[in-house]
Amino acid sequence: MRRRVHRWAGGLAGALVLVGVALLVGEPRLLAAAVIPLTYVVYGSLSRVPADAALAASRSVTDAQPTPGEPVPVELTVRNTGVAAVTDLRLIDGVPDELAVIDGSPRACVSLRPGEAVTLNYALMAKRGSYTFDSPATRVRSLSASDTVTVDLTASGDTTLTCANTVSDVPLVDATLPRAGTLPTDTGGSGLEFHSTRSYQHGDPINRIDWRRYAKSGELTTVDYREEQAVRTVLVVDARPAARVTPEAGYPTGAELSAYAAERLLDALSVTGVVTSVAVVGLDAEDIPGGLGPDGLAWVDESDDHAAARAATVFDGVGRAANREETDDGAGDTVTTPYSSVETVADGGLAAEVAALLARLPPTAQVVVFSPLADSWASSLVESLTVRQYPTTLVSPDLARRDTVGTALFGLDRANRLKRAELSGATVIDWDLDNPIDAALRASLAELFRI
Amino acid sequence: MTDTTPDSPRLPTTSRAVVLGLTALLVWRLSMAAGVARMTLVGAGAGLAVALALWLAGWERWRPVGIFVASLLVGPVSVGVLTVSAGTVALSVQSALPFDSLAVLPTLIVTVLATLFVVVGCGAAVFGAAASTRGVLNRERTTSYATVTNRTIHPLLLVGGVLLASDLASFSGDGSGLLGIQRDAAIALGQLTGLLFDPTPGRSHIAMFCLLSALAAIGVSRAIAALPLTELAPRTSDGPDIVGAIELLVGWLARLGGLLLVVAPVAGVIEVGIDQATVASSLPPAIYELVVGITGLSALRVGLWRLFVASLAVALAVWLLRRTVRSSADRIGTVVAPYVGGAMLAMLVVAVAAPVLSRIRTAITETAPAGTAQLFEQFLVPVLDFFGASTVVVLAAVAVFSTASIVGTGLWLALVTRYVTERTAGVAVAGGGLFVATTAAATLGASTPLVLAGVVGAIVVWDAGAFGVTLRREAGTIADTRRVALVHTGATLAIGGVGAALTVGLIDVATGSITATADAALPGLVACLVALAALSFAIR
Repeated sequence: MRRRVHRWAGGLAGALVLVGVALLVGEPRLLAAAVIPLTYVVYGSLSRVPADAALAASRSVTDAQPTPGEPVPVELTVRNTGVAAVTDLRLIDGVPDELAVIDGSPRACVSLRPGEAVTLNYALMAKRGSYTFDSPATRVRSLSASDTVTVDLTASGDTTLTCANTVSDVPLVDATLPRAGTLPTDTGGSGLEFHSTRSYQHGDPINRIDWRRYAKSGELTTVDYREEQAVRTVLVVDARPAARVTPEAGYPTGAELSAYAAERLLDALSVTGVVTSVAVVGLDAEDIPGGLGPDGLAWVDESDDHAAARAATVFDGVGRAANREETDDGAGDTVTTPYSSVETVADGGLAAEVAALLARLPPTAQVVVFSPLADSWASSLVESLTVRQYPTTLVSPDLARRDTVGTALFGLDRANRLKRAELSGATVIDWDLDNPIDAALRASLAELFRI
Repeated sequence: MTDTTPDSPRLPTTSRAVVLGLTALLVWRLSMAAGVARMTLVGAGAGLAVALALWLAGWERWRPVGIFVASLLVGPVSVGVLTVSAGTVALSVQSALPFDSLAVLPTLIVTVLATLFVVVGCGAAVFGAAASTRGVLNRERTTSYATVTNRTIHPLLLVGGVLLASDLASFSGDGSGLLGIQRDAAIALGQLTGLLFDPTPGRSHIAMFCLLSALAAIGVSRAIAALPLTELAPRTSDGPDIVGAIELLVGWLARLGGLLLVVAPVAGVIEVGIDQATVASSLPPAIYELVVGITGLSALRVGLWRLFVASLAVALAVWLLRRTVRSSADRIGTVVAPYVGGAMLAMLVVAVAAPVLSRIRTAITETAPAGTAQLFEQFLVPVLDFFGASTVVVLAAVAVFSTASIVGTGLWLALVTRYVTERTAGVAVAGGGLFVATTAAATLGASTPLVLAGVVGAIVVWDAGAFGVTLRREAGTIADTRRVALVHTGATLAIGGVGAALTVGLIDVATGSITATADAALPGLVACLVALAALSFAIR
């Protein structure tokens, strides 16, 4: 697209002023000096972008499959393939809108001789999903800057950046789960571990009668063993608008990081044979193909058809929700908010979501809650679960940078909520984002299944 | 285009260096050529102060502090601008004295105006260049600055008003022992206060009494309504209805005040139009005496007036308190800062008023010509004696400090009317100032190379700055733009060199070979002005 910029039109006004003043005061030098602004007017009119200017671009993405939160170096090279010099070339690489540039700049302004090239080096913050680069936009100006040509170059090389949690990369394979698949309880019954003795009741199995005691005292007593029930682990991801906070623009949100941690744990538990369900709270029907369940939850059981694919879809929905623009002012549906402006959800919303979760939880479930703790919803949920005797673990990515008063306050609030969850009896995993989530989970996995 | 770095209004380093360096060089050379180096220095200082104040007025990090300092800068800015304007004119006229004849007057006017334009143009250039480096000349900051300057003057106005009122009050009475303006003012004030608080005994004063009572009733009604009484009063089903009683009282007082406001003019017409004896005879003697006694009671009137003033104060205090509670600390600081700055300036003015005025009087008496000193003694000294040094200097300071307000409002108007493009406003002012200063310096006899360099330099300053703005906007803050900026500016300079060479050639060719009569010059001038106006309209 070619555009003429009449930036030298003011030269006519300058020439007229000089002529006018020259006539007013009788100063011939000013009359002659009117030639200077007129020269610039002519210069601006005649100056053009070379018709035979030509550019070529190529892009390379160093790590095409990074993990969320990881910097990805990108390199864009633009070469002047024409025969004329390009004195003023401005270019911007087509960085996907969802990704943030964390190092370097995707923009440049250069003069290129024929055959000369310029290379832009910058880094993007990876987020879950697949992103396509737009074409690099270039604008060439003439020497007088009165003629501009704007074109989108077609870049060769890498055009997409995919950030996914690959199943082949099993992160927690070395973690040993004690007695995976069973959950010892405090109630007596059949089992292996001694629990207590009681008076014989009609119908008790004969093999549990304490015959030695009967021989000594003549009383019939029955031995109870600690009952073992099938374990079901439920991973609850907090993806509500309040959890979609981020330390800075372009960084994965707390909800996305929570989903990422849940997905890693789901992979690990699947490998070790633990029956696992996934529940995501706070999504809209439009975020997941097929919509939500009747209770407003995105719930996937391992017994469902294509459970792994459905779980991946649900986790993708968290990313879609985070990228969705703000839609509802009244309900605190704020997307990707800085944590200084987190809006907490009303108590009614908390009660409804917690009630739906409690209704769906199997009685033998152990629950792992993933939340950035941007508000008190997750800690309240943990308290509700521990009160009902559900073994509960809270995994919380630490988004607080603590470099300003606001972020320090956010960190303080989060620490208080973590403490509150811990005091209620839950196991707390505080995920420092400088360390991989695998390390945090591996260190705490044994605790996860402690009874 | 996808833009992933924040849009910055600051100029790139190369463009900034060109704009600042060239501006400083040309300002220095032009002021030296015009012989106004000192005044230009003051003008440049004022320009820098305005640019600094604009930056402070929009300083996001410490907004209250920035606005406070910007309000303090109202003083230097105002004094600097006035000194440059008045001082340049005075020095130019003084250098031309004494006149041989009135025939030199047109030449003198041109010389004075040209000198003024050189100084003002250089000051504007310095301001524009300084403002362009950080892009502070925009609508948001000029709006903030205009607001700050206006608010800064308020405390000075308040102090001046209080001083003026106290001076007038101290001289109220029959004016005995006073002369001239003091006596007239004292008599007028005495009549006014007598009408309000000390009426003539032996007759009714229903109209004025009703007016004072109405003011008091409405004032008390407003004050009670403003107080949070209904919010604090308990609402119980079995207790007394306090809220209802308060609302009833407020409504009753408001209606009473309205009724009295209606009655007052009717009573005034009756009292003025009908003889007092007729009024007395139409009423029973006891009632007439009661009306005369109550409406003429001085203490009651003073009490009603004080009640009205106290009610106003309460309503104002409650309003301020409610506004304060609803605002954030930062917002409160932002609003209060210019008033604090203005109050500090007012205190400073009051503190230095007496010695400054004394020095001015001494200087005028001793150094001014006899006629001027006589005029001063005849007209200004009585005013000074009557109002006192503090009052006069504070009111004069209000007038002086209004200059900064005029400057701020002018900048704001230039931007909101889009006569100056916001993004390139700073460099446009810098280039325009240099252009004006160069043109004016040419009429004062500056050398041809300097005139040509000034015209080319003004254009280069604007071009480099405007180009730098697009560089920063499109290439961001990280990209290296030095090479492109240097290539572009070099080309512009080269074209200027070509234009200057053509001009020199034209001067050489045209000198002595072309003559123009005055008859031809006037239509040419008119044509230029018309074309300029049409072009300006078209460009805008």
